[in-house]
Parts: sequence; C-alpha cells; structure tokens
Amino acid sequence: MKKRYIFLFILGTVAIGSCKKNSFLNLNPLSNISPENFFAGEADLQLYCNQYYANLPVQTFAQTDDQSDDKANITINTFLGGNYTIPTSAGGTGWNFSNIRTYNFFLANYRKSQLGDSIENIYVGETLFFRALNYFQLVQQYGDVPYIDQYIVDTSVTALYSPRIPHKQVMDSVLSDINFAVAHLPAPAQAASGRLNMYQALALKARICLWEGTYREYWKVGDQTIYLQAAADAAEQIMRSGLYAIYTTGNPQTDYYNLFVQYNLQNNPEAIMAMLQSANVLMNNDDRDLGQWGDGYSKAFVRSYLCTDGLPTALSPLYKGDDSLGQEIINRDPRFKQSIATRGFNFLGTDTITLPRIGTSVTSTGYEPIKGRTGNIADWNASQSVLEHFIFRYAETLLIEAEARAELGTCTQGTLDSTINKLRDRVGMPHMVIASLVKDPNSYFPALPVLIDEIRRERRVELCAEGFRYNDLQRWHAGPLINNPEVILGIKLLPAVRAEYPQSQVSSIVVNSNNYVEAYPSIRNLTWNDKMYLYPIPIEELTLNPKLTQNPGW
Amino acid sequence: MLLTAYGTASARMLKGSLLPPKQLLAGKFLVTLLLTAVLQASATGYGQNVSLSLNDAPLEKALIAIKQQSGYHLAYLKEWMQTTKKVTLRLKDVPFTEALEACFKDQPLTFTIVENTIVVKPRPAPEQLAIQLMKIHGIVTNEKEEPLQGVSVTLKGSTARGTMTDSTGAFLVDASPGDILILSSVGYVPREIKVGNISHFSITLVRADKSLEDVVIVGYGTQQKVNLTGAVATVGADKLEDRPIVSLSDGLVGLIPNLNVNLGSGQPGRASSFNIRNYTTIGSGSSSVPLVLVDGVERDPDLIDPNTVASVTVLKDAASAAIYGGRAAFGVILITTKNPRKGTRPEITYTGSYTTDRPAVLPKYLSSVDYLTLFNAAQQTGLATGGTTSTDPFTAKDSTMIWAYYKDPAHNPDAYPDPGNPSEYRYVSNTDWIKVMYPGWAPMQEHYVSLSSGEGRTTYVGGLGYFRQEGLEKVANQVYQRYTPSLKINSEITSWLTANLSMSMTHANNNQPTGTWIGQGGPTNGAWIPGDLRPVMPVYNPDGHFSGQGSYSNPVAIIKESGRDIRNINDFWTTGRVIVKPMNHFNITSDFTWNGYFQTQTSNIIPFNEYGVNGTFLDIFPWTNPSAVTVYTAQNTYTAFNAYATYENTFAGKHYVKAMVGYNQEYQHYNNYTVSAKDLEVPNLPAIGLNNDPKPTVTNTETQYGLVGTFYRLNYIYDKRYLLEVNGRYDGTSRFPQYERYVFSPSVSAGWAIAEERFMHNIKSTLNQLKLRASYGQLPNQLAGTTPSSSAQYPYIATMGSGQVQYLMTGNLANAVYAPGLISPTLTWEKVQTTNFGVDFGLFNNRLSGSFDYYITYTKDMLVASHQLPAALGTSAPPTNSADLRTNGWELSTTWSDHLLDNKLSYSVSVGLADAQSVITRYGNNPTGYLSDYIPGQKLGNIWGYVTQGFYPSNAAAAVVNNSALGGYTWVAGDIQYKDLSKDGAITPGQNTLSNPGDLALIGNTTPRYKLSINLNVAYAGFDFRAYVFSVLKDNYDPVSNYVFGAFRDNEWNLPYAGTMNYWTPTHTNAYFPTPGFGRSGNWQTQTHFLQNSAFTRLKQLTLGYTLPRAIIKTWKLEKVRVYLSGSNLLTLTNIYHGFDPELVDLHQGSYMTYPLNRSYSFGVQVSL
Repeated sequence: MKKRYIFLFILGTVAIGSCKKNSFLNLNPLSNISPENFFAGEADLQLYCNQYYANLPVQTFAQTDDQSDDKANITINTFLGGNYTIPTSAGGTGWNFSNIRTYNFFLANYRKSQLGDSIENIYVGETLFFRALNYFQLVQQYGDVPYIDQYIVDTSVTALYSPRIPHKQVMDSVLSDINFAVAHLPAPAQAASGRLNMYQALALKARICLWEGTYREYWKVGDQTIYLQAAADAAEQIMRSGLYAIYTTGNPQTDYYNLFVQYNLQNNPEAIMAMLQSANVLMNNDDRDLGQWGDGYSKAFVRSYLCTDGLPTALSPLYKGDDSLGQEIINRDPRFKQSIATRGFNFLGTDTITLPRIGTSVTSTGYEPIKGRTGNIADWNASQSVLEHFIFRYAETLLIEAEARAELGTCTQGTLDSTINKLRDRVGMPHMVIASLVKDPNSYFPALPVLIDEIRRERRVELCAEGFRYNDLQRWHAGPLINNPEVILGIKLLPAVRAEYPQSQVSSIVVNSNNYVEAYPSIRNLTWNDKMYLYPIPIEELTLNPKLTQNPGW
Repeated sequence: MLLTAYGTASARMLKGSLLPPKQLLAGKFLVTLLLTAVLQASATGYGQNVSLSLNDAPLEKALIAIKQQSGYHLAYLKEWMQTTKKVTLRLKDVPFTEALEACFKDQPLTFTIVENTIVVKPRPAPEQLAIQLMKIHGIVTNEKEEPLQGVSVTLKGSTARGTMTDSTGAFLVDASPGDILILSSVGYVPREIKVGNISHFSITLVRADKSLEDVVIVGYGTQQKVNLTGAVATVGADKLEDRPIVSLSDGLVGLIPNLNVNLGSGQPGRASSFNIRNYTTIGSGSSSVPLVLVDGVERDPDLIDPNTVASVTVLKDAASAAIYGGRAAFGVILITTKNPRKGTRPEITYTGSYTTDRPAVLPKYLSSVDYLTLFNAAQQTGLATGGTTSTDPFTAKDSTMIWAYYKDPAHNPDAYPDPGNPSEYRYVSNTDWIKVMYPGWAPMQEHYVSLSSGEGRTTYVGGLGYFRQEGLEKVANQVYQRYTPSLKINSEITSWLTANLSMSMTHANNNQPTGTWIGQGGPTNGAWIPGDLRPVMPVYNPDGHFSGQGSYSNPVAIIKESGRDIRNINDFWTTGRVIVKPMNHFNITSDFTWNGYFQTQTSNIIPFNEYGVNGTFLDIFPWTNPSAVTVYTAQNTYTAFNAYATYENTFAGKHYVKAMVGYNQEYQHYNNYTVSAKDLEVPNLPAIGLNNDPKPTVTNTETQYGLVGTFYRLNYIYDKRYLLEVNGRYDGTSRFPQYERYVFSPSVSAGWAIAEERFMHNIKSTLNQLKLRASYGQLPNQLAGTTPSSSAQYPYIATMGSGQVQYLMTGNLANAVYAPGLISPTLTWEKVQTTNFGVDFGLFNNRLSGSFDYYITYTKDMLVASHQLPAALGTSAPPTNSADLRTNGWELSTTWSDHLLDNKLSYSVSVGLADAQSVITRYGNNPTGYLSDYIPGQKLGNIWGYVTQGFYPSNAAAAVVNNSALGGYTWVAGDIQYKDLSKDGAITPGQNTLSNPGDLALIGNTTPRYKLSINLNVAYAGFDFRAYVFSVLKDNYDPVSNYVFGAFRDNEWNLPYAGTMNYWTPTHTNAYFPTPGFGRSGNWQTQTHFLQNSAFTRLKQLTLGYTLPRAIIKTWKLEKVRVYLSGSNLLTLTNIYHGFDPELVDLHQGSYMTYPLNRSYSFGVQVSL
C-alpha cells in the first residue's frame, strides 16, 4: 500500500512538473533598473541627467592645441602632418551619436514623471544644453551632419538614413536648443550644487555664436550678424550679472600662472564653471601628463607675445632677440614667463630648470608648457592631483565680447576697457588703445583690420593650451597659417648653448640653418590642405547610409 | 534478481533447443552461466542447520526444503531430476551439508557448495575415477597479485570435477597428469593449464577487455557499452588514480579524443575550461562550453577532489546530449563520484603524493652587455634614419660601468648617482630577472583518506582530501590549498526502496600578492614577467632599498610589498535521492540537490615607495597608491530537482525495450557584493572598516535564472543486432521572453551490430565486435552566460545601467542611470545540429578495440550584430540570430591490450587522434569582407599576413619600395622586405578586405589540428608503468603581437629575450631578426618569417609504480601498498621559437606573459587496510 502511495506521488510530481511553468520562469532583474519603472520623480530626472556632466569640455592643458600652429609636440600631429587616413569604421572617431541618443531618450521619456513644466524644464534645459554642445562639436568636426532629434527604437526608420543636414540649418537648431537652456536653467543661487545654471548656458551660447558668426562671416555663407550679435549679447548678459571678475591678487608676475594651479576654483570669480576635484574622491593625472607627454610651444606661437611696451617684437625697441630662451623673455608680456618653463622654474621641489629641457621626453621644442603645472609632489603622484580646471572661464567671455563687437563694428574703447584691458591689467601689460594700434609688420593676418588682428593675438596669448586654436583657425578660414615653417620650430640652440648640455642629451637634436630646433628633422614644414578644415566621414558610414557624402578633399 | 533472470533464461534455452543432457559443451556453458549468476547474486548470512522429515519425496522437493531453511541458493537443471531416486529422510537440526549428503546418497548427481549456493551437478562416471588422481593446489591472482575469489576451475572435457577459488584465491581439485585445467571468471580472459606432474600452481588471470561488459553512465541512467548508438566516450577512475593531478581537468588532458582541456596556465588555483570536438559559436552571450554535471548536477569540476571520481563520460553528439536539452548544445561531461562498493568489507585507504614543480618552459634572459649592444644598435638606427630615438640613452659612463660590473661584479657598483639628477641612480647591474623571480622548485602535496564499507544494507563511503600547491613565481609566495570532505550513504530500506544521501564540501584558499594583478609594473594577471624589465636594474639599490625609480619598475618589490590578495571559497553540496522499484523492470528515481557557494576575496594594496640615492624618497609607485582594500563576496545558491522513471525489459528473448521519462527543474540565485575603501588607517591592515575614505564604493549584482525540462528516452534493440534510440526534451528557460521560452530538442540514433549477424559467424572469433552507428539531433542553446550579470541572465530585458560620473555634485561623485541598449524583438535560441557516423570494433579476442566517429555540426542562428547600422543610431545594433557556422571533424581511438610471459606481463597501448575545423557559413555583419572580421566561407582561425622575402640588403634597395603603409619612417638595410604580391611597388594591406587584400596572403591557421594522444600501460610482477604523450601535429602561432618577441617592438621599453641577439648586421645577413630599432612597427607585421609552427609533442606523464607483494604486506596487516614515482611535462618536442610554451600558445595566450606550466616530479603512496 505504502509502495503505491510513493509511486503515485512521484508520478504525480513528474506530471505536474511537465506542465509549462511560467510562474517559475518569469524572473526579472533584481539589481538593475528597468525602463518601465524609471522617471518616476525629480530624483530620477537628476539621476539620468547626471551622466551628461561627463561630457563637459574641461580645459586641461596636456596635448591640447597640439593640432594647431601653437604647439609642436614630441610626436608629429597625425592630422596636420598629413598622415591621417580615413577611418574605416566609426568606432573611436568623432562620428559618434551615442550621447545624442542619450539626450533624445530623455526627451522621449521625461514626461512620465508628471512633475509639471517648471521642474521638468530645468532638466530639459540641461539636456538641450548638452545636445547643443554635442551638435556644435559635430559641426566643428564634420560640417554638415545628420540631425537626429528623436529616440530611435525601430532601426528601419528613415531618420537613421537621413542625409547630412546643412551646417547652417544644424546650427540654427543648436541655437534654439541653447536658447531653451538659457531660458529655463536656474540662476546660480537657485541651482543645486554642481548642476548647470543659466550663466553657464550663456557662456556656451557666447562661444557657439562667436564661432558660428565668424564662420559665416569668413566663409561667406551669410546670416552672420544674428550670431555675432547673439554672442555679444550673451557675453554682456554675463558681464552685467556682476557675478564674475578677472582673478587677481595684484601680482602681475604670478597671478596668471597661479590661476591655473588652483586647488579650489569654486569661489574663484573667474570661474563661470569649474571642474571641481576632491581628495580621494575625484582626482586627475593632468600635472603628470603635462610632465610626461613631451609638449612644446612652437616658435610661431611664442612670437605672438608682445613686448612690455605693448608693441610686437618687430616694432618694439625693448625686444632683445632670441639667441637663448633667457634672452627671449626679456621685456615680454609676463604671460610668456607664466606659460613657459624658464630658468628658475622648480619642478618637484628638487628639480630646478637651468637649461630648457630639450633632448628629453619632457619637451619637444624647448618651450616647455607650465600652464597648469605645479612643483608639488602631491600633484605629480599618478592620478592623485586635485588641481581644478576651468570649464568656462570669464576671460574667454570677455574675449568673445571684444571679438564679436569688433566683427560687428561696434567695438569701442569702452568695450576694450571692460574686456581685453581687464586681462592686461592682471599681468601688468599696457592697455590696448584703439587710437594707437599699429599693424604688426609680421602679422599673421596682414589683410585684417589692426583691431581684429590684435584681438586675435590677445585671444591666442591668453587662451594658449586651452584647446581653442584649431577651431579658431577653422572659423577664420585661416588654415594656411599651418604652412608657416615656424610652426614646427623650437628655441634657438646656438652652439654655445648646446655646449652647456651633457653631450648625450643633445646629440640627437637637429637645428636648422638659423639654429632653431627642428621638432621633426625629416620635414621642413607642415603643408596645409583645405580638406583639413573638416574630418573625413568613416568609409563604412558612407556604405551604410548611401545618402551620406564625403567631405571635400577626402 | 540476476539469478532469476539468468536462471530463467538458461532454462528456457534448454527447453527450446532439446539438447541431449550429455552434450558436454552445453553443460559447460550452463555451469559457467550458473556460476556467473551465483557470483553476482548478493548473499546474506542465514542459519545453516536444517530439519527435514520426508517420505519418498522427489529429490527436488528435498533440495528446495534445504534451500529454504539454509538460506542458500540452489542451482540445478530440471532435466537432471528425472533420473533421480526419491528420498526418505528424518533429520533434526543437522548441518545442511549433512542433509545434502543424505539426499545425494546413491544418486546420479552430486553437489558442491560455492559461496552461498548449492550447485547440483552430475556425479562423475566410475571409470574416470579409476584413473589415478592427484591433488592439484593452486592460487589464482590478478596482475596486481590480488587474490581472485570465485574463479571457476574445471577439467577440460569433464563437467564433474569442478571447483571454485576461495577468498584467498586458492583452489584444490583432483586431476590426472594429462588433464587440462580451465580457469574462468567473469571479466577475465579464461586460461587453460596443463597439469603434468606439477601439483602446485600460481596462476595469473588478466582482465578481459571490458568494452563488452562495461556499463556507461548516460543521461539519467546507464547503458551497456555494446548498446550505445551515440558518440560517447568514457574513462574510469583507473586512468585518474595512481598519479598526482592538480585538478580533475588537469587529469583529463588528452584522455578522451576531442575533449579539449584548456588549463589556462600553471598558476595554482587557475580555472580551467573544457571544449568538446572544437564545437564553437560566435554568438554573443554564448560560449561553446559543455555542460559539466557531477552526479547529475551542474558543478565546477575544478572544485571536486579528483580522488573521489569514479568515471567521466563525455556525450559528444547531439543525440547523446539531447536529454539535457538547452544547456547541452555543445556536449555534456558527466562526472560520477565513487559509491560504496556493495559487498566489500570496511576499508580505509590513504593516497598521498609529494611533488616538486618547475616551469616547463623558460625563456632565457638577456645579459646586460648584450642588452647594451642591442640598445645602442637600435639607437644608431634611429639616429641614422631620423626615426625614433631613445629618450634616455645610455651614456658613455653607463657603458663603461655596465661592462665593468658584467666582468667583475664583486668589485664594481651596480648603480651610481646620476650626474644630471643627483637624487636618482643610474643602473648598471646585470640581473637575470627570470632567475630572480623563478629561482627553483615549488612544492605541491596531496593527501586523501577514505573510509568505506559495503557490508549490510546500509553502505557508505566518506573521504577527506587535502591539496596544497605553491606557485612557481617564488617571490609571490603564492599558496593554494583545497580541503574536500565528502560523505555518501546508501541504504536499501526495503527490497523496493533505496535512499541515499550525499554531501560534499570544498574549501579552497588562495593566498597571493595583490601585486600580481595591480597592473603596470607587476606582472599582470598572475603573469610571468613584465616586458619592460631591464637587466641593468639591480634588485636592490646600493643603499639597501628595493630598486625601481620612475620608468624602472621593480616587480619583486611590488609583489613583496604591496599587500596580499586572499580568496576563500566554500562550496557546499547536498543531494538526497530516493529510488523506488514498485514492480519488476520498473524503477523511479527522484532527487533534490542544494548548493551554496560562498566566496570572499580580500585584496589589500599597500603603497610602495620608490627611493633614490641614499634613500631619498622619490615617489609612491603610482599603481599602489593610495592604500586600499577591496572585499568581494559571492553568495550563490542553487537547487535542482530531478525525477525520472525507467522501464526495462526483454520480450520474447529478442526484443529489448527500455523507456525513460523524467522531469528536471533548476534554480540559480547569484548575489555578489564588492566593497572597496581607499586610504586605510593602517595601510597593511586590510580591515575594510578602518579607513579614511569619504566615500567607499559598494556594488552589488543580484540575478537569478530558472529552468524546467521534461524529457524521454526510448531504446529498442532487436536480437542484439539492430539498435535504435530516440531522445527528446522539452525545455523552458527564464532567459527568453514568454513566447520564445519553450523549445523541443529531438534526436534519433541507430546502430547495427554487424558482428552479431549470422553471416559473420565464421569470423566472429576474429572480428569480435563491429557496430555501425548513426545519429542526428538538434539542440537549442539557451546562451551559456554563467557570469552573474543582468545581460547574461535576462538577455531579453533591456535594463538601464548605472554608475558614477567623474564629476562632483555636492562634494561627491554623481550617481547616474543610463539609457537602455537595444534588444532584438526576435531574440531566440541558438541551435546546434549534429550528424554523427561512427563505427565500434573489437578484434582478436577484443585485444584490439576502438571506435571512429565522423561528424558534421551546424551551429545555427548565432546571436550576432546582424548587419551594421549607421552610427547615427547612437548605440550598437541589437544582435539578432543571424549567423551560422559548420564544424567538420573526426576522432579515432584504438586500444591494443595483451598479455605476455604467462600472463605475468600485461600491457596496453591506446592511441587517440582527432581533428576538427569550422567554417563560417552565414554572417551579415561584414559586407565589405574585412579580413579582421568573420567572412562567410572562411575558416575560423585563418591568419592573414605578409610573405617575407628577406632583409633589405642596402638602404638603396629599401628606398625603392614604398613601405609607408606599414611604417612612416625611412626603411633601411636590415629591415624586413615583404613580397609585393600586388605588384604595385608598394607594400600595403590594400583595404584589408577579401577582395582587396593588398599584399596580404593567407599564411596560416590557428586551429590546432590532428591532436594525438598515446597512452602506454605496462604491468609486470607488481610493477606498473604508464606513459602518456600528447601531441598537436599541425598548428600556427603568430608571435608578433607579443611585444617581447622581437626587439623594441613598440618602444625602447619593450625588452626582448636572449634570442634577439641574432639580428641583422651587414656582416650577419643570415639573421632571424631585422636590424634593431625603436618602434619600427613595419618589421613586426604578421608574416611568414615569424609565423611559428606551434605543433608539438609532449611527454605529459610518466609513472612507475610498485605494488608490494601480498606476502609481505600481509605481515603488516595491510591489504595493499603501492608506491610510485611520476613526472609530468618532462619532455617537449617542438620547433616553436625559444621561450614559448606550445601548449599555452595553442590556447592563444601570449606565452611570455602567461604563468608557465609545471614540469613536476612526484613521489606517491597508496595504502589500504
């Protein structure tokens, strides 16, 4: 009897088990978030938007402006060196729309929170700030680009296979995105710690509009005024706020250098937005990178420094020539000495510069960048530095204001006094005075009015190594500046100076007939090609979407 | 049970065939059969005194009465009873033998007692008695000199005077000088012994080839090997015991053709993995690992004690594996652990071994002066060509000092202060870093004690194993230990109910330096030696601190000083099982298993300071800063329930039927945490709570999966000749959405035992076995991913990832949630279809046996990115089930086993040979035909590269060719010249596509081909010898991506090993390597010149054992004592470039950076009492 019960029991188990068991098999993720349950409240909106902040353009200094006429780093720039080949696939290139997708996903889903416009629009504002930034970067790199403004789930939709939208049309959308952000982001006092505020949006707007306005001007594509005016307006709105000022402690010989080696930018008046750091929480390796990556400014850049009388070297009686670096810095704009390592600069407490560090992995040209470089061992420790960097610096806003007004023809002495002359005051340079401006005989822009020319020089000097130069050349239609042989030359190394070095260190240094250090001995100069204004679109992308066309020259 | 079965069968056969009773052949056959049956019957002790009261009763009735009262079995033939007289008896409580004597008095029959059976037999004829008989004494043993009990001893031509050996193997029989003794026992080859004048014999019987009787474990049951129709291979414990092995995987290398074992490396505690038949998949989330079941539940084979393994069966084709459905697409490995042996007395066994390990392959290090020469030559190339030069070249003083120290280390310094930077040293030493890190021998030991008993109705086996291995990298001081207690109890509660309980636990502890994985400077991933370690760096600075400053990293220092990484694994398994036999031919098995897997890993990082001249503090080694501790905890549980019923019967003597139906349900729950804190209060105290970290990080993954399956198997065999098997399983998994959740896996296989056919009878004595097999099956693959992650366990649910943004909000890193990825709406199972043809054969008394299988496997609907989508999508295209591949392969295994020298010497040679290759047949994601991606029609593993023509003899010759696509520097004399296949004056990869490969050609393939294994076993007079050779006969390895292969591949820091000195110079043009230069990438293209032939033959194992004679150990009150010496990886024959281990590169791991395999020498002992 017992036997039969057990038998039946087991048989029954088998029979029951054989049925489909959806209850047993319906298992859902236990430690991951499913989209159905997300965007339930403001905390969710914030959590999602937080990821955007990784895409902010932080101004670090190592290997920035490498792709320009400002620097000739230890390895020749692939792009300007003419060695850039068209990438086969989009992976690892700038032809990347993943962040665009991130922003569009938010825009397609945020309404689920049902928090109402006043709260939701703050985060829509953040999203559009970043989408504007992203498309601005895409346009800078590729010109016309597909404009995707929807979240794509169905991979057969036409949006995915859209042609490239004309530059101007994309930038109009960018302007409308950034305008929304300006309108809906809170004032700094109301913004949560670390989150975007309206002045940061204005700073981005000023940057975008100056770039687009001058681009339209110099590429002669029309409709530039609205952008130039928007740039000036945005800059002025920031200036009028009274929240920001040029950092100074009254020490023109050190203030500029010190500005870039700050451990706390949060309350720095020049920081419209800063990348904050915190010991053991968020640290960087930038100081070490700067010391290891072998950067060097070009001779062409160094020539831009005015003499202390406000005149270019070609005109100033104070200029002492460049037979050595020590001689070259005499009577020059104090920003020279505060940007480039010269005798007496002390690395790591024990390592004081006597001779420029050519022939080492530290610098290529002898003009060793020190902007953002400290002598502090704590910053040198790998990924242990808490040096903070700017994201939007007020000085740039002032330069935008000056340039936009100069382009509009509305730049007065008053404009200069409230912008460029503030920067000059910090470093003890004489004011720029419209009435007494003299054209530099060695000007890189001989055809331009002297005012615009000098505003561009000021921008180059003030914002060196901050990553603007290539995009400036682009919008000014000034690519041929790359052809200047001095773009790949370094300091003058006369035999007498060479003799001061240990032989083994400088034995492989090659100089040209005028004794200038050749950064790349095998070539005389870089050769500009107009195709370099834009990057090529990866080959596979052209196949995948037949409506895409390649950029000119590639 | 068996007695009944055999008895019935025999009686029926006799009735049906009307054989005259005097047919001697038939009689002998019968007796053998009966005795066989008796031996296999289980015996229990009963009272032996009987009482009888019979009047003129048939003899049969009397015997049955004695049988019942004595408890003894009774074996006789009904026919014989017709000739007997009736008996009258009055006996009270007399020994049953006395009763039997009385019964058989004056009868034509007589009897013997064998074990616990009364065997009735005809009384010998009187005339035979007239011949003078002598008493023949004998002892029968097996090859290992163990006594054999129950061996039948008969006289040729007589059915009468037979006997059996007793428990000591002894027998006593009457025979005359001309007689021939026939000794036979199940499982042993029968022997005939001529009596002559000798009266005392010592006879050795040898085991018959077991293939006929062997029972093989198959899915949810067993099958006689002769009845198999699928591709199934098995090895028994005998191949795993008797030698030291690190883990079960280690022991299985090469034992089964086409079971590929990837050992990973020789590092203690390293996980290994299996592959069957080169089955492969390119599907995302899928991997071609077989399902590994230990006693029916999925379990990590590296965590069980190899000593407990009874057998390993590999189900290779789809038909055999189909019973396991969606997890078994790439085959199944069934591991069975040892059960108590029924009928054995209590026994304690100890097995132990002590081993010393050495790296199997070591590259040679470059001396300081060779390095200096090479470095300066590279610098010279850079200066002469405007190419890359060193940023830190050796100075003239360096050279002088290096030479001085090299020639006379005792009187010269190995470092001196840098004149340009007085706080740092310049190093001028001559350190052989390989010797420093791998100076000698590492010990390994294992011990295993088991206690078992097969007496009575409750039997058990319990064991305790201990294993300890130290790492070859001496400075790391790594110790891996494993404790493996286990217990199995089996109880026959009633004749129809058996219950058993099995419990086991594995505790593994791995203690290694954190420095083995912290990245730069230290050897990564437990690897072997970093590639930037210059011989000029001493181990210690002159002031006594560890060396290492700036670009010089000292691995010894980092490993020794940067903290420990301690991992503890506790893996508990409990299985309860009930077997019910409600009626004859029918049984039901039901079991439930619970597993808890608990792991804790604590990794401590202690900052390592770098010091300069006279102890000046320079820097903290960046990768060890700040101090930190990371604790990883896994708490995984798993439950499995199985129930299956089996019916087995033979109808009308010819129709064998076996049917099985069952149900399986499994549930796995993963719960893992990682907690990490930086800035410890006491850096070398890895206590997670004692830290100054403002925000320690905590991560957690919790996932689960469920699986249900219903399955069946039907076997039908007609007349032992025609075999048919049908399998099927209906699976459901939690890994797919509801509408794709269930899938059916059908399979069918058939066999034809040709040798059993009547027309083969003439050669049956030669061709003992010949069976043709064919099978087909389709298995779905539920995607194997066993790593606990949402994408692995819920591939159809797009979740939103989360993480931290490198941006501060309110003083801390911001947390963020990310957009979900795209999931294909048509996501479904990958399918594997296998067609298998096989033949099994046995020849010459089964001395030669083996099998051959040929198979074609299609892996279909693999989940891959179906076709590319424009980047404007912003995410990767969702993978779809849109790629196929085909694998063709075959495997042969043969064994010759025989005996010589009067059976005193037995030997066997097994040879296995296997091959397989895969071809992509459908792949839509590479329309351009990029050579680096899969291309339909192309074999997997193809190597495309340049064809090397030689070295450029002059700068002028180099200048003629446009090599800019390979390296944008000036090419010079001594650089490698490639063949311009496209004849366009330039060496280019074209578009790197199939249609435009430029100068690239198909130059090799990385699939190992023709894997050969040879096993030799010899036993003689207590000695046993075993040799095992493993070989891959065809294979390629491309070493150029290994940056220590040549000189300065990427930059001046890539350190080459000794062979690099064979470089081109104008006076040495017949060199192996090109002229040295820093970062001359053009020379390091994949090419014919450097392509390695990584075929190899390796003597994997050599064991010599000796079993002490019983006569000696009996006096020590022991049952068995065996001692052995063993060596592994003793000899390797290969043409591969110096320093590479072909067995590791075969697994596609750059050998220099891989922990070396062990060459080991062991001593072991096995004792039973």
